[in-house]
Amino acid sequence: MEKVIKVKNLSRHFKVHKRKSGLKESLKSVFHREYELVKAVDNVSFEINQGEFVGFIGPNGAGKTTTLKMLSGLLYPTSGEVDVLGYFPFDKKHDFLRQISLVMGQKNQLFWDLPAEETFKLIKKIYDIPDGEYNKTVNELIELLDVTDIVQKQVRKMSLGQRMKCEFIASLIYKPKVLFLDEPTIGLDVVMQKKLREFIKEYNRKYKTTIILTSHYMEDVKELCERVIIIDKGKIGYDGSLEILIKKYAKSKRITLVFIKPVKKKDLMPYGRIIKYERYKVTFEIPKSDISDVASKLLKDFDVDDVDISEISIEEIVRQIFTNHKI
Amino acid sequence: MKQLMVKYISYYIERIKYPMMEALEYRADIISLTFTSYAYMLIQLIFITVVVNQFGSIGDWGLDDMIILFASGQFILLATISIFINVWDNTETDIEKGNLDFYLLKPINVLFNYSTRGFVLFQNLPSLMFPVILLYFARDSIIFSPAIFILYLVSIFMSMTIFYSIIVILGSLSFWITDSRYFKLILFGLWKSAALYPADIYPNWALPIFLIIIPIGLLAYAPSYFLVFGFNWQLYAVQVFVTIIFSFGAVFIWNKGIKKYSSASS
Repeated sequence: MEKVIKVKNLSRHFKVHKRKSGLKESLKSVFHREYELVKAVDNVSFEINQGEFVGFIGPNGAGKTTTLKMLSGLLYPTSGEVDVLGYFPFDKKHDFLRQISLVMGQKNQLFWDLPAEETFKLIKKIYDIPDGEYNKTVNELIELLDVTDIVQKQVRKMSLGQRMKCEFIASLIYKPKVLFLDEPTIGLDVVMQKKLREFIKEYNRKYKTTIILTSHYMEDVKELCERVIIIDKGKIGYDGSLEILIKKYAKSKRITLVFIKPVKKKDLMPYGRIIKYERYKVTFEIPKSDISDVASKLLKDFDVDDVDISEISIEEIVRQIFTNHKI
Repeated sequence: MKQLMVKYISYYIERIKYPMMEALEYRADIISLTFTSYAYMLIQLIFITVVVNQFGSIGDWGLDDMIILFASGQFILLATISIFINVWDNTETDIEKGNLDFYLLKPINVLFNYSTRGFVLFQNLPSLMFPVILLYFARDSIIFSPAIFILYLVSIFMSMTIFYSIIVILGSLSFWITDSRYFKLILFGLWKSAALYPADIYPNWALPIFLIIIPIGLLAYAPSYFLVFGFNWQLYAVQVFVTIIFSFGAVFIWNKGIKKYSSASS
């Protein structure tokens, strides 16, 4: 399969002015400055195939957006190699820019005081899209995103969800081969998040567009990405399938019991690590190998009204990875 | 090359429609803008009249000549800002807040696309009429000849190019300095002093400063001089030279700045 993104030892460092708080320190810093080198992205390497859907996961300040900005050509790398569709992104060759698109959940490219369809028309002009092709694509996107009545509404009068849908149309009118999504569902309610996820999934399936997604919402990553790259402090800690990640790190399961009568915490402690305790309800985290033994013991020793055994959530796995610096 | 030019011109025509449509959403803004700019120009005009009446003339420039100078200056200032309002108003903030991202990702020249983002010429037409009316009232001082009229228009165009280049350069400083807005305040202050008076008031040593290095003194002076006193090849050569230097300088500094642009965190 064709590799559309090739990144080798890519780094981006920022020199940041550092000082202690207070007016005295501010005055001191006018005459004597101390700088700190922040390695936003530090020596990362990966390759992405055509049509792949890759999720970038990491805490705030991990280097996700910086990587995305280097891939799209907004930032110049401090060192390393980056090749997207055969181009060095920062050169911003027009042929390259015609093939990529960036959707940012926190930034807006639509004309604020005009209906969204006016921005679409301007984009048509920039990308020289023939009338027939433009009408076909826009109508298709409008239908997929269910925004027929909305595109004629002034952007400033739209809800955040409606605006994001229109941002997607504006970014996809010219059918880019590579799509960068930076927190596209941020701030949206769960219903709108789900709708957008369904749209992105369908778009990727239909057009085989290579998509890189950064998101804080694990639901986005879980539903959309076959492959995840976990990044923290600028370094890649994991690059592979979500399934393997779960198998590798989810070595325990959670068992939740609801009791008929109240149970003291000290009576439950010998059975395993308690995650959450209430008088009538308890949640344990138990190693996968012991789960059936512990469950049957608990059912035998206590009057149980309800029992639930579940996998540890992907959010929890990633949180544990970052907290324990396992990567 | 011709194809590219046609593409950019056709894009420009399409592009300016949008900021015009945006601005027309707010009718009250047009009325208040016209009122305040007329008030501002009238006050300036009264001040100039008082000064000229006090001294009889400034250099070789009588009251009508000074009105032509003032009218040409106001036209250059208003027209340039109206056409490139985005560069005048937003460059510093857009660089600081990382709002250039979408401009950088479009397959079209970034400075061209950014400069054409705002266009309020239509709303400013009533204000732009004021300098034209003033030229009519001072018509006794004007040399009426088609060649001089064309020369005047070319000179106005060059002055607008120089002024646009200056605001691009000053805005671009934000790539290096977090807040460079005060440079534009200084420019505006300089305009109110240097651009409203003829170069005759400067001693010889100061002429290169106000005509070439910080060419505010050249902007209204050159076209007005051609209109009142006729063609002067030295002045024309200086204006052509300054237009070329500042245009290339603006593009060079903007492009250097774009390389330094670090966007903003999400």
